[in-house]
Amino acid sequence: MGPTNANAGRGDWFRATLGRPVTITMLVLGASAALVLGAAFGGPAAAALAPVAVVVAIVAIVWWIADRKAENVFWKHVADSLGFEPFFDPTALETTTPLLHAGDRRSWKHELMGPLGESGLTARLAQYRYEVREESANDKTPDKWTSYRYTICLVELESGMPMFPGLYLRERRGLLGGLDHDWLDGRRLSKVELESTEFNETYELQIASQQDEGRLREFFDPKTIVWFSEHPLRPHVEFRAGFLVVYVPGYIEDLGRVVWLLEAAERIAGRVVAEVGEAHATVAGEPAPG
Amino acid sequence: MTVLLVVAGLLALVGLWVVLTNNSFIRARNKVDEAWSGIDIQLKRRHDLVPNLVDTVKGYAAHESATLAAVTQARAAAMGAGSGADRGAAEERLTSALDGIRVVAEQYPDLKASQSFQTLMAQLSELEDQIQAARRIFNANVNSYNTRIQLFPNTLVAGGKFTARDLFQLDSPAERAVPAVAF
Repeated sequence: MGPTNANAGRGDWFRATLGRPVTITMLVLGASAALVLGAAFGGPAAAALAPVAVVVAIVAIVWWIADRKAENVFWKHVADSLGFEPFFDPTALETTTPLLHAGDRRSWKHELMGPLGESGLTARLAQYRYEVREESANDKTPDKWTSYRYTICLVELESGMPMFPGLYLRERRGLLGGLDHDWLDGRRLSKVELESTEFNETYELQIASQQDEGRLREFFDPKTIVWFSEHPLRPHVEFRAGFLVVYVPGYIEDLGRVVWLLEAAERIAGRVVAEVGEAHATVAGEPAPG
Repeated sequence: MTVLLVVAGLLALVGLWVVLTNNSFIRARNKVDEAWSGIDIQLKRRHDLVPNLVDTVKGYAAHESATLAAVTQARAAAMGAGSGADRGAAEERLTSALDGIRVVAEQYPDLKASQSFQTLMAQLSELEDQIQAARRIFNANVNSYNTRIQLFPNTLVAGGKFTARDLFQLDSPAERAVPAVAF
């Protein structure tokens, strides 16, 4: 049985790494060197404080290494459990939807790819971060970077492209949310409210100008609206140019929530596929499937 | 002069609050109506499905005329019912009558195995799920609207213009039944 979250086993890794001969040697040598150099150049106070600073720095580095190790072991376990494989060059996804193209700098972690449940579709799962640069007023201070983190699941659904030219669903932002960076700013989108007060209080739904609103309302049938309103993850959605991105803010770091995210992506992709099938059946003059 | 300005400012604030509150009531009421039309659409879809279902069953189980007649009558009553409690009761009777078809199907293996019957039953099951979901949306909207107009000081604005709406009850007898637990 593997770790259930990215922090599980971190303490064990920390203790194991701290107990390694190389770490102990570094601690002893580093503290001794700091003591000698502190005494030689800074006096008694520096001689006392320098070894402590060196020990704290080394322990902090060991903690960071243990943290990364535990995280990597967890994601390896996630991949093994789900039958996923790492995928490379996630930057190719940055042209797909506005979120994945947001900000001035983007980075990816734990990129995995594999089957999306029983749907026959392929999912790409990753931790994604974009950063926004705030230019410094002068040359002396560096630019300020603000980062925004998400866990995303991307599914290619080319068949849905003509029916859904642009659909953006995310959790409603409060009054202070307006101060945050909005990657949809400047796009020609219109806000839509559905029939459920609860849904409208929870989510903010925006669509591209070419989006057929009737089709959108068929997609959001009552079951789907209730499902979104009651889902514990509050899944956010972007669907543009045949790419469906189901995402949640922050990095998911436990297996249960990873599975929830994938199940949510499967459910939403299933709705798109069903709508496309229904539209094709209607065009062909056949009775639409239930 | 200062006193007059203060009074005018307060009156303006009260006026603004009345307008905003009134608008929020209208929005909430419109959402209730919109949710009702969502239920109505799903119920009409179910009404449209019933004749096909009755015809299919008739082909395999012509002797079950009483069950089929009950379904047809319940459908007609549901289509003719108004709204609110009457509509709920009529739809509930239709649900019970449709349960009778499920019982009939158990006695006719050929009917149960028929592709068209299975398709219709799958559609019916999906529609019933959609009706349940639409009902939950409607009732949640009604609760939100009723709470909004009944809270003080909102009641001062609501007056007699905005009245509380009824929930739409559509629980099948099976749902209401308390399960017997044996120890």
